[in-house]
Amino acid sequence: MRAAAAALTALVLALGGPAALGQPVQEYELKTAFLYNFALLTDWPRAASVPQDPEFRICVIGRNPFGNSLAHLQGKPVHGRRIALRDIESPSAARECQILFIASSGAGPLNEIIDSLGDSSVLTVTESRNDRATGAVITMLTQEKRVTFAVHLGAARRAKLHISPRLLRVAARVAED
Amino acid sequence: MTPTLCRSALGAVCLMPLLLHAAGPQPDLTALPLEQLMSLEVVTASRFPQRVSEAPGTVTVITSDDIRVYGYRTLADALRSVPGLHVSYDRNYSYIGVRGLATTGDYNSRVLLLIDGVRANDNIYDQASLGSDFPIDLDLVERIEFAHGPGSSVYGGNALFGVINVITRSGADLAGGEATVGAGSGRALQGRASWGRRFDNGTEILVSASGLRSRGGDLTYPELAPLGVAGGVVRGLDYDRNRQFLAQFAHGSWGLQLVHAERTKGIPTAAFDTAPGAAGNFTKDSNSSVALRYDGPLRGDTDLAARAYYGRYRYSGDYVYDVPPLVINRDLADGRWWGVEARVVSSAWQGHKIVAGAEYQSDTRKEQANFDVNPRAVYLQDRRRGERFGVFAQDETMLRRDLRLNAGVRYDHVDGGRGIFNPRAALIYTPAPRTSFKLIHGRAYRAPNAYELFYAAPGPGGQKGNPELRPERIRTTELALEYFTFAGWRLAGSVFQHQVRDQIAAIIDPGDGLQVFRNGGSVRSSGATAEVEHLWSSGAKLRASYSHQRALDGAGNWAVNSPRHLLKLNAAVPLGAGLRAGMELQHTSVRRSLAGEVPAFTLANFNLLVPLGVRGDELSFALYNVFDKRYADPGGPEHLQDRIPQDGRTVFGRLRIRF
Repeated sequence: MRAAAAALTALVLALGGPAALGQPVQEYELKTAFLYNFALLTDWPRAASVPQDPEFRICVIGRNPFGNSLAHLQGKPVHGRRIALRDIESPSAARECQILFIASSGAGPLNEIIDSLGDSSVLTVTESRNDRATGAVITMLTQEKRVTFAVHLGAARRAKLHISPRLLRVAARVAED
Repeated sequence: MTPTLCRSALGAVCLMPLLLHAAGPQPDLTALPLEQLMSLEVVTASRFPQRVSEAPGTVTVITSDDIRVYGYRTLADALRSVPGLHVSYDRNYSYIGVRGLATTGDYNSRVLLLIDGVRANDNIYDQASLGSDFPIDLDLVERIEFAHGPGSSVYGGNALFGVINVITRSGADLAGGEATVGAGSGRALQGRASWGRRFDNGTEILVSASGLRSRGGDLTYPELAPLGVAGGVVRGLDYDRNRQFLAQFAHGSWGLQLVHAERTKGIPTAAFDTAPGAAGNFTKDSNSSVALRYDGPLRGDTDLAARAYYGRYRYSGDYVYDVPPLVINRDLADGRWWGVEARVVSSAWQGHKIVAGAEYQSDTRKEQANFDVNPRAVYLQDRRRGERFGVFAQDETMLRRDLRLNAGVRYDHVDGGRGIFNPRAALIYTPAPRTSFKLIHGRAYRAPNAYELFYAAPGPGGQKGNPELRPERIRTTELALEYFTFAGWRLAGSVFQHQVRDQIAAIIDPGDGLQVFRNGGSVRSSGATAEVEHLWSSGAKLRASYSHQRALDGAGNWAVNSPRHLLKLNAAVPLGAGLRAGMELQHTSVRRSLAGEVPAFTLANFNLLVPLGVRGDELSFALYNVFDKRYADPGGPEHLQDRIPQDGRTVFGRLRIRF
C-alpha cells in the first residue's frame, strides 16, 4: 500500500506535477520550454536546410541568460533532427541557425543583427519588457510574473517561416508587421 | 551545463543557475503541452497569478488589443462582449446583468469591481461604476477579467454574480509618450495625454490625464409630451463630461497608484419626477483613491502580497422640481474609507497551493444628505462610520494526476452584524492536456449598504430607511467544460444555477406610501452558455457565444430585465497594409420591463484601425449600431419611461500618436 502511494507520488512528480500545481518556476526554465515549442510549431522551408543535416541548431547571440536551462533541449528531436546548441559571436554565423535567440545585452544593435540575416529562414526570438515591435519574429514578454509572447507575421513571412495556428492562438499579440 | 554555451558567457551567469538549482530540482517544463505552459495566468479568480484553465470558475479575458480593435470606449462596452452579460443604460448610469440576473434600481452592487486587485465599489451604494464614470481611461487598461459566479470566498462582499478585475498598464508597457484626440456623434470630444517608462534602475512611472466632453443628441420621450415638453423632445440634456487622472510608480516589489476621476452627466429623462425638460438635472460622481502595494517573496516557496489603500467617493445630484416655483433639490453622498490587506500564496507543502489572507477596512465616513437649495429645507443629514473585517483561506490540492480540488472559505464581519461564512469548492478534472471539466459550488453575499439602510426623505414619493435589513445571499452551482482542438480552437461550455436568497429590493410600503428596502424572496436563474474562439495565422480572430438563461423572481414570474437568449459574435480581420477591422454582433432577446416588455434587438458595431508610420501612430474610425437599429432598455422605477430608447447609429474617430 505504501509502495503504491510512493509510486503514485512519483508518477505525479514525473508527469510534471509541480508545474501543474502552479509552483513558481524559474523564468528561463519556462522560456526554454517556450523555445522548444516554437521549434515544434514552426515550419521551415525545405530548401533552408540540407536534408542530410542531422542538427537542428538553436543559437544564442549576446550574453546568454538561460544558464543551464537550455541544456534540457540538447539532443531533443525536432522535425526529424536533433537539437544542437550554439553560442555565436557574430551575426554572420547566424545564417546556419534554425532559431536565433538574441539576448537583450551583449549582442549589439538588434536591427543590425536582424538586417544581416536578410531573408534567411532563421526564427529570430528576443525578449522584452514591452510589446513594441523589435523586428524579431517572436518577442517573449515578461510582465507581472507572466511570460507571454508576441508574434510578428511580417518578419515570419520575410524568413519564409510558417507559424502554426496553435502557437498564434496562445500568443499575447499577433502583429502584421 | 553545456560548456559551449558557457565558454563565451560570463562566469556569474553560468554559476547562478547552479545556485538556483541547489534549492531543488526544476521540473522539465518542455514535457508540458504548450497550452498548459501558456494559458494566461489570471489574478482575479483566486487572487494569485493563475492560468485560466486552472481558475476555479469561468473567466473571460478582454485584452488591450480587444479594446483597441473593437473600439470600446467604456468598461460597459467591453463587458457587453462577455458571454452571459447584458448591460442596460438609462442615460445616467450603466447597469450590468449576469446570466439573467439583473435588478432595476440597483447600482451594480452585486458585482465586485477591482482595479488592480483593490476594491473599487464605493461604501455608500456599493456602486460599481462602469460607464463614463469609471475612473480609468480604457486606453490605460491592459486587460479586463470577468470571473463568473460567486467570489466571496476570496474577495468578501458584493461578489455575488461575478468579479470584474481591471488591470492597468505599467510604465514599461507605455515606454514613451502617447496622446489621443477623438471626436464623434453628439458633439463628443475626447483627449488623452500619457507618458510612461521604465528606467534602468527598474523604477517604472506612468502618468496620464484624459477628458471627455459631449453635448449629447436630442432625445424624444413621448411620455413627457403630456407634461408640457413640446413633442416630448429634450435638447442638450444628455451631456456627459469627465476628467480622469492616473499616476503609477513601481520599484522592485513596491507599487503606488493614484487615481482621481470626476464625471458630470445630465439627466434627460426627468427621473424621480423632476420637472420635465428642465436643464438643471444632473449627477456628478467623483472617485479618488491611493493604493500602496507590496508583492514579493517571503521565502522561496511563499509569496506575500500586501495592500494599503484609501478611497473617497463623492456624489452630488441636482434635481429640479416644479413646485412651483422651480426648486433645486440636492442629493449628496460622501464616502471615505481606508483599508489594509495581506495574503500569502504558498506551495511550501508538497502537493498543495495555499492562499490565505486577511483584510480590514474602516469606513471613516458614510454620509448622505438631501436638501432644497433655495429656500433651504433639509430632509436628510445622516453621517455614519463603519468597519469590516475578513479572513480567508483556500487550498488547491491534487487528488489524482488528473483531478484537483480547490476549496476555500472566507469569514466576514461587517459593522457589528453577525459574521458570515462563504465557502467555495471546485473539482477540476483534466482527462487530457487540452480538456478540463470543472464542477464548482460556492456561496457569496453582500451586506445591506448605507443607502438601503439609512436613506430617508419624507413626503410623497419619498423613501425611508430600514436598519433591520439582513445580508443578501447567493448559492451557485456550475459545471464547466473547456476543450482546445488540435488546430487551436477553444470550445467552452457551462451549465449553471444561481439562487439568490433574502434579495434586497425596493418596495412601496402600503402603510405610508414610502419606498423602503426589504429582504424579499428567492430569485433563481439557470441556464447554459456555449463559446467558441479561434485565432488564425493571418492575425484574424473570432469569438462567439450563446447563452440561454431563465431567471424567475420571488413570485415565480419571469424576472424583469432578464433576456432569455444572448448571442455574441466578435471578429477581427487584417485587411492588408496593416489595416485591421473589428466587428461585433450582439443579439439580446425580448425582456420584461416593469410595465410591459422591451423588444429583442440585434446590434452591429464596426471599427477600423489604420496604422500611420512606424512609431505606432494610429487612426481609428468606429461606427456603433451600424444598421441604426431602434432599440430600448427597460427603465428603472425612478423613470417615467418604461422603455428608455438607446442611441441609433453613432460614429467616433480617433487619432493616436506616440512620441
